[in-house]
Amino acid sequence: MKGRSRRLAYKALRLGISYLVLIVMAIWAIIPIYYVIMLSFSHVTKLLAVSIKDLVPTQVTLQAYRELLFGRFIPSIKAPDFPLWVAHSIVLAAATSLLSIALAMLAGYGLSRLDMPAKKTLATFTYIITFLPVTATTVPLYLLFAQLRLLNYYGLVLAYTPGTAVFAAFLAKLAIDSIPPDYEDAAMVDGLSRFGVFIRIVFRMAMPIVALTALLGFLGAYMDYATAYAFIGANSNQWTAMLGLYYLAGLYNYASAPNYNIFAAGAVLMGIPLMALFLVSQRMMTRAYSSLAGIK
Amino acid sequence: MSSARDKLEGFIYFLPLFAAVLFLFLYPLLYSTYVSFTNMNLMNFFRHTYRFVGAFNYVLALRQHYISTLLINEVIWTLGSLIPMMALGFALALILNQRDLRGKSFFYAILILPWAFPGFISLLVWQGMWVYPYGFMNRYVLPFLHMPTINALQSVGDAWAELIITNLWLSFPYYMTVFYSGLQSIPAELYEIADVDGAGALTKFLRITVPSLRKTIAFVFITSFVFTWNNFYPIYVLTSGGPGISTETFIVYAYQQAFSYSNYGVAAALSIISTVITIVLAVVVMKFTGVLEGIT
Repeated sequence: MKGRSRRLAYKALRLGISYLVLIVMAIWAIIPIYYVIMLSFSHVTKLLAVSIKDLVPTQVTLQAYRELLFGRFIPSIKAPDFPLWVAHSIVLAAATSLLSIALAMLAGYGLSRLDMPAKKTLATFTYIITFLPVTATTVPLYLLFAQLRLLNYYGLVLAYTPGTAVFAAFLAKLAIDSIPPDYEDAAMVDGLSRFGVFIRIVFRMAMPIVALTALLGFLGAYMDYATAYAFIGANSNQWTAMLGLYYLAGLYNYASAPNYNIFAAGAVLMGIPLMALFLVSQRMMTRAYSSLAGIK
Repeated sequence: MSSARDKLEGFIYFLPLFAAVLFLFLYPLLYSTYVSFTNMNLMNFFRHTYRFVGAFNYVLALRQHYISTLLINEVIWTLGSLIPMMALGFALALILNQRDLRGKSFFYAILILPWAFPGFISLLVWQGMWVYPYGFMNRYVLPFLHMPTINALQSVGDAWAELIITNLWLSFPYYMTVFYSGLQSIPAELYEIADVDGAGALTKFLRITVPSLRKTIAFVFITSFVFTWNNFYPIYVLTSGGPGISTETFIVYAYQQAFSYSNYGVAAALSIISTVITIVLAVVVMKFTGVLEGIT
């Protein structure tokens, strides 16, 4: 009897501590997100005016969202600033996505199905490159692109693409490895060219990897700040959403920044959809990895 | 099967990605090496009047103790972030893995929010929360917890605390997720056998849990080490390397030298040093994980 009650006491203690830790961590995890959501619905104008009252939803207002979507912050811009910046980001991210898919699928197909000279060396070399952070090449790319007149959206897409494309090429290689080559052989016997096989069969069968590449390329380009600031930071007409958010947060110039609740609205409006995309990409990534592991 | 024509064709598929890597990674790195031996800055770059200065930038970096300061900072930043992140992630994974714990998926869904919310936007929010003395953390949270306020503009210790706490918030869900899935892959029979043998909780932990996860832990540590070493945004957004250069890392300092002070020569020298270190780390990762077996 004594041992049993001791075991029960131990169990209660263990679960009690567990719940306590989980609750404390959950509160900590939520606070910054809760804080920014509440500020986005508040009347707060300056960061130093934020008080605990603004974090309780008593006076909900959509004022900040209205100003974010229709407000003019920088006099030289002839349209509402923030939607313009978001549009730039979407175009850049979509272009990066498409280019990454093309490069990654071609290379993945080459690595998987075809023989080529020095395959292992080339693959190793390309793989090492993925470890270099994009910021390591930002300085020389800036200097080179300044001479080539590429300090613009074309230059940004070029700078964003290889990071995603190399990683995705190896995922594509593994995915194509797991597709049986019988279909392709049959189609080639029927007279389809190798490139036709690649487009019509391999591309379609590797669709999950294509979608994952699209998502990773999109997120990578959309979330970039460092390269965009280096290339187009001087011209607010060309800014992207992340440069705009940095400006709205008052980090370029605290005194001339718009109201702080507008930054909060921007953070929420950008943060929630990107969070959803991230969760989708995580799920796809896990599935890609586990399906690859399953086939091996 | 692999005729010369096939080999050529394989190479053609791989070529676009390879060209992108050559033009957008390798060539910039070589150019960066060249720039690091010149006195290039904003004034002489566009007039093409910069000249070769030998190893001056490297000697300067050594003599003015940049390199030793930056190296020490890197170690504080990388290990200071990594050890608490892995410990917390592991502890939470163990807590979530208890069979008699209820509400697992509820807690898990909340605890991964900091990872899912876009990191750059979170950092902008945290930057505002840490502002001294009226930011949300210093005005409400720290006093409520009876903890001293944090002034990252003046105290080096405070600046590191701010960086590491924020990085912990951003990253612990990743470690929790990886370790949690590792724990779930340990066969339950092992524990059942240990129960029959009358093993205590500690014995089971040390004899079953830790040995089963040894590979996962090592893999996570090595890959995260490289990632944290080169992690740009937390330092750039929160402290900008301040006070002085006491929280600068190679990558942040190189970026600022280039885009805040236009000292391209110095920036190039710093990014070359950082690239060499990263490549060494990358080789260690590849040797250790044997990842190349899968991709070639």
